[in-house]
Amino acid sequence: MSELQIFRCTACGVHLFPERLRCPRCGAWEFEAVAAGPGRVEERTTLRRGGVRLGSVRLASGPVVIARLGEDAEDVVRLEEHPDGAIEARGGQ
Amino acid sequence: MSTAALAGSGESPYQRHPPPGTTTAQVLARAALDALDNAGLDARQIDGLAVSSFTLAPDHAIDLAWSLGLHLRWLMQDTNGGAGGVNMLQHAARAVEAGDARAVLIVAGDHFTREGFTDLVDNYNLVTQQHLAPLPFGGPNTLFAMLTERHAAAHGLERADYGAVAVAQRAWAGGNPGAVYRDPLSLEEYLAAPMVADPLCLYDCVPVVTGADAVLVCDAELASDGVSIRALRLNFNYDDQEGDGLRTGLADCADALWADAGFGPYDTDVTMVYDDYPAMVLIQLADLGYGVDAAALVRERVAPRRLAVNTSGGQLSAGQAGAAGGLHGLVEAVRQLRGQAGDRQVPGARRALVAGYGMVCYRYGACAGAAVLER
Repeated sequence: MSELQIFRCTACGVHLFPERLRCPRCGAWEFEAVAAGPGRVEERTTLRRGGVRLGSVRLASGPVVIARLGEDAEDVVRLEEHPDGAIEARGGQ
Repeated sequence: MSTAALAGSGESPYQRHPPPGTTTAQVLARAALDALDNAGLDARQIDGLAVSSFTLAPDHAIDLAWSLGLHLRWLMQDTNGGAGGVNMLQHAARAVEAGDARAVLIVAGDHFTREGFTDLVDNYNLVTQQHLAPLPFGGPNTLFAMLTERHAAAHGLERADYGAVAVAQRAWAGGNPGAVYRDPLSLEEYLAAPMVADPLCLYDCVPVVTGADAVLVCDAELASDGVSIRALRLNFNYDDQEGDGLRTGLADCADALWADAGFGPYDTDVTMVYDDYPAMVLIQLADLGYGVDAAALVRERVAPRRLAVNTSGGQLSAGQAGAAGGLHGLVEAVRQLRGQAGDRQVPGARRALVAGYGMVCYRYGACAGAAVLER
């Protein structure tokens, strides 16, 4: 499990997730993968069937990511990506 | 004004438990026949076909044309879900205006197995496969649950306000024999209903059904009691999924739409918006100019049915037959304007707005469009 990677346009610097082919801000075609960084859970919900808790996490760098909320996830979270692709919000910095 | 007119509408009855052996092509065909009968046209007159369906695969539009014995000079398949009806209407109207076709059948619908529906939801697009399905996310209910929570906070709404939308639509459904849920729904029942994904409960989520919808778009000469298209605008990928979904692409189309129509939102007699969730009803109405004060909109207009919204009961009460959802509002509008809405007929209905919305690229719909109709 490692920190979620998001995508930074090398031309204008905007951060994006999920990745794109072409930058919606400046139209350039090149991106670099960078660590997602910290985020804040803005909304959360519980899928009653199965019980998974999800949150809408706004990263300090800009993008909003849908993540599963880990047990220790409070308002400020870091995002990790499991090998199966699941994005999990964890507590702490 | 366009030379194209909506000549008729039809539906394959919505079923929550379709009989064994039901196929997607069958329900599409049934809706087509119903529309032809309604328009007083013969299948041999159809020279254009537009299809939208999640479950027609591996078949395509041409396979359906072959199976229906249609000989066409214009053909398309739409993949825009809830916005597909308005999108296909645009394509069909332009085809008729340009003389590329004289009578276009637009049909949309689906037959899902339970596994098929789960499969569709988890594989909706690559982003869903890669980033949502593994969570798991359980489909759009969780995404729109969070959107509803954000909408409620932004507008000072409570669960009872969203419930009022569901209750009002159920009241309309009482007059629609084709709706799968017709019994009156009380606010108490809504508030006591099992939760699906907080804050959404059972009645915030559409009942998935097997079924199909169809309309005929023809040269006005072929349409007796035809419905005209006063205006039509669409918007795709309006914000690169960088917003919060509380505003749709309709907000970017609304001014031009009403300018083209020559009248405003409150000059319409019936309004159909894509009701995948109650919050989206209020959002689309706001985007289209019906009122930015969501609380006032629901409490003073939608709940008391002073504004006739989704008079079939909408998908929330009538059912969502997959891609048919994108055509459902158009069928109901055409019925209302042609005086064929039975017990739910809005007297003297002459003008309608039909909005479509759909295709969640990641967090909310990226396709939206609306048409203003008049008879």
